[in-house]
Amino acid sequence: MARNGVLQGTLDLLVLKTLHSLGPVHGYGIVTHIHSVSDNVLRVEEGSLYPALHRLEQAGLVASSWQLSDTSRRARFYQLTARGRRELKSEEENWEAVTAAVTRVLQYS
Amino acid sequence: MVWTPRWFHRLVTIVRPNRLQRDLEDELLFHIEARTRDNIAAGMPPEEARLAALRLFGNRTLMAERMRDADINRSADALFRNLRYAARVLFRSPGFSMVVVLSMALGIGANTAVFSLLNAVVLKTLPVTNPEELVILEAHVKSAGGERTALDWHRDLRNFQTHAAQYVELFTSSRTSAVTTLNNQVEQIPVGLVSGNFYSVLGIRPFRGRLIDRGDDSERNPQLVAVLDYGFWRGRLGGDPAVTNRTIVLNGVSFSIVGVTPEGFFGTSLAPPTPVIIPVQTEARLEDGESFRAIEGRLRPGVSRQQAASVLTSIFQSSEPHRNDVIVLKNNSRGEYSDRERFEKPLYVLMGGVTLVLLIATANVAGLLLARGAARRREISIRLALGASRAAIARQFLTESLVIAFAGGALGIALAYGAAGALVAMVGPAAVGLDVRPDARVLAFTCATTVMTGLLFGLFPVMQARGTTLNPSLKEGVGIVGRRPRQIARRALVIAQIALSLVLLSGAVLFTRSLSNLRSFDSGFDRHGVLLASFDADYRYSKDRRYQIQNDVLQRVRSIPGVEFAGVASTPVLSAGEYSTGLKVSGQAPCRTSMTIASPGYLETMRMRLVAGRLFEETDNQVGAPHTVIVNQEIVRRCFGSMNPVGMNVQAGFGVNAEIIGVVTDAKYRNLREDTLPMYYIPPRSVHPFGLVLHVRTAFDPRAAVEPIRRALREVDPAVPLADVRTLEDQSEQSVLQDRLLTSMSKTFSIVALALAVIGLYGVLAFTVAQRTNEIGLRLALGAQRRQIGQLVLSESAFMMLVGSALGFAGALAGQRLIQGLLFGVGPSDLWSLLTAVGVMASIALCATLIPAAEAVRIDPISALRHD
Repeated sequence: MARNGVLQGTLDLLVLKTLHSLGPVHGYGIVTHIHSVSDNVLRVEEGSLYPALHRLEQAGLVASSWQLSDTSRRARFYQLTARGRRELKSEEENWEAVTAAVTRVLQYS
Repeated sequence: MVWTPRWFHRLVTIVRPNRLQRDLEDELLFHIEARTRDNIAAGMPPEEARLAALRLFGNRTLMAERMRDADINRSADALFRNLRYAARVLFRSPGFSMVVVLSMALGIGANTAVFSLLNAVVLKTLPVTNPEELVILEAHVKSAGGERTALDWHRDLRNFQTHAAQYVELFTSSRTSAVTTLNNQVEQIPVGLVSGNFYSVLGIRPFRGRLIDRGDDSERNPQLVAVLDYGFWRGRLGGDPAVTNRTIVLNGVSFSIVGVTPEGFFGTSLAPPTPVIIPVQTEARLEDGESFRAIEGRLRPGVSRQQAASVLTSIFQSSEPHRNDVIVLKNNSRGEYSDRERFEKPLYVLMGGVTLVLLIATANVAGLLLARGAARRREISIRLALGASRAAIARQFLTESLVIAFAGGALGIALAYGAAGALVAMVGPAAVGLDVRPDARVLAFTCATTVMTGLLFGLFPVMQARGTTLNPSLKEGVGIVGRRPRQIARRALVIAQIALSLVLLSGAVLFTRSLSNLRSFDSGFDRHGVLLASFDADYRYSKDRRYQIQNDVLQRVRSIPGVEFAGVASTPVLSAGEYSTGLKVSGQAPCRTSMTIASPGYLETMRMRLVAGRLFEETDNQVGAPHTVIVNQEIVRRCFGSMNPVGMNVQAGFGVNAEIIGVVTDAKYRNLREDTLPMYYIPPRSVHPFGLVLHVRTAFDPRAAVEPIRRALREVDPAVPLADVRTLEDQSEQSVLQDRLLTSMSKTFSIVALALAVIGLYGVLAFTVAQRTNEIGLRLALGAQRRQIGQLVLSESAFMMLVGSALGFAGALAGQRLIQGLLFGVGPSDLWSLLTAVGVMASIALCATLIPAAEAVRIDPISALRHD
């Protein structure tokens, strides 16, 4: 999981969102994207990412294929499926609801 | 780019685990390389950059495992691995595998074959829509259990059709035969007769053209149309597409062919299909009398059989005063089959027997697996030591058992296909109309049997493996007199096999005795040395001429050297049919009796003994002479009590007034098991029938008389063929067909069962001797007598035999009660049969014991002590 105390279960959301914004991308691309977009706050652990990707693939949310990377190396690329897009949408809404609720709790004084 | 679907990954994962492994490695390697490159770009020294990248992954093997787990459907993968392992184990010992697979194939195949026959005779329904609505109509005296009475086909059927149409749609079908010319050859073919609504009520669509409809079958103006059976059209007419333009001539009358029935439809009876079907109202045009017509029907939706029957009964009873017969509707969903009743129970008994065979085969395979399991104890221990879970090992063993069962099942179906054909051939003419090809129900039965037996014998090695502990098994074989696995399960299996074989064997002995009783008891006539044949001039001859031919043939046959007597009779004995008419003494109520039309010479041919009066003479059969009849003793008992009937005048069937001239002994008429029927005989000329059956008693083998008789017939009229030639013994054998089937099948089952049980017994004994080689060597070295060593093996065998026999004895006694109704002249709990069975069993078991016993006795103490 993310080192900086990101809530459990958010890894899938981050991965799906990343695939949504970037299109087909390999695992390493996902790590660097999340790292840089979160201003170096969120670090996805490799040990969690790959099992998660494979799990998402078996759940039919992402699909994979072997392609050549920009460095001309064979790499496995992932992309969202239609089901993945739907899942992302509901996960996003869920996340909004939870964070809003957490914010309200924190602001209560 | 190609995005491969999920299932493809899963498949690759399962079928090619190596490729998956490589893909995982590649994916991770790519990541590490990319990170290393970025680290270097950020200014790290190359070596440190790589180590930093690696560090981020932590335990790479563990992660690879987790990825793999995510990728694959674990159970499917495990199943496949188990299957591959099982196949490898089985291929490694082909001899063993062949024996177990063949055992199962034999057991499952025999079960499938018997079930196919049971299915065809008892279970299968007609291939029409909603067969459960089909009924057949019967009239019974007073109640459903009473004797059957005849229905007036014309009047009653019309009456029912007009008044009960909203309850049941009635139709009719029957068969007759007619002479036709096919491919320039004159032959007699069976002809089907159906009512106009037959096809529409059954919901049958034509394969070609149209089928017979109501318009064709009108009572006033029946159409001369014919429909051909699909098989006949294909086989004999070459599937001629223009067949609907042709005509077929039956008994000289031309019928235009209008269509062909669909493939697989054979009517509502399980007899061979008739090649040609014509409207029932056209039967009169064939000028060959009227066939017996069954009234059948289809219940309207929502109407029950009882409901429709009570409506029909009230219509029937109110149609005429003093009619109190009851109409009964019998379920006809399976179609009419005259032999169903006599085969149904024997087939269930055979099914039971063949199930026992399967159980014995299962026990045998279980025993073999246990023996091999003992040899695999080290393998199991090692796998346990390496961390395999007991559940995984159990799954592995069960998979192996199921692989054996399914291999056996597949082979069994192939065997059954041939065996079912052989069974049908054994049953002979009575099974000609049966379709024993495996259908969905047979396949479902076989699959269920296969899985159940697989689980059953698979259970034993699993239980055995459960008992395996880590340590002692690895050390096994080191000590001399150390703790041995006690083989309780294997002994129990052998005992079960002995017990079950004994049950089968005693059944076989009982059926054999019953059949030999049936063949040899005094049936009131002499079954040996009599030839039966039919000869009948067909419609082209006048009635007088047909009658003349019959008499001339009899004359000539009697003069053939070696022929002792000859006569004709309406129905031969044991052919399940005779006239049922009353015999009335003036001033008394009519006495219900059966009648056989018999010429002079018939009773002599049958060797029925005269008790009083005289037999028929030629004069009794001459036109103008007074009518005479001969009665059997049963008639005297039932109708005359203490009076002597000879010389009395009675009114016989067809309103003939006749004098009783003699009394003969009782005999069996319809079948050998019946209660004695009251029977009288009347000469042909009193009732003028046709198509009587020729009976000839010869001093030599009756078959040798066939050619002389054929010649005699040719001399009388070369155009009249001799048909249905058989001996009275053949006829008698046909009538005990179900007993022959039971005898030969139960014998076969017993032989297989005995062989399996003996192999099982031998296996356990030989294994024990091999295991105790060291111990026996030590005993011998310490001064034990060889005789004592032999006794050791014998006593083990005797123990299993005794327990098995005791159990088998009890089982056989229970079994005898179940089959009592099928036996003839064999009392319940017949000890003699049981003891015979035990004797056979014991002597064969002794043979199986002698080999391992001799081996044990021959053990050389010196080499035995050195042996492992």
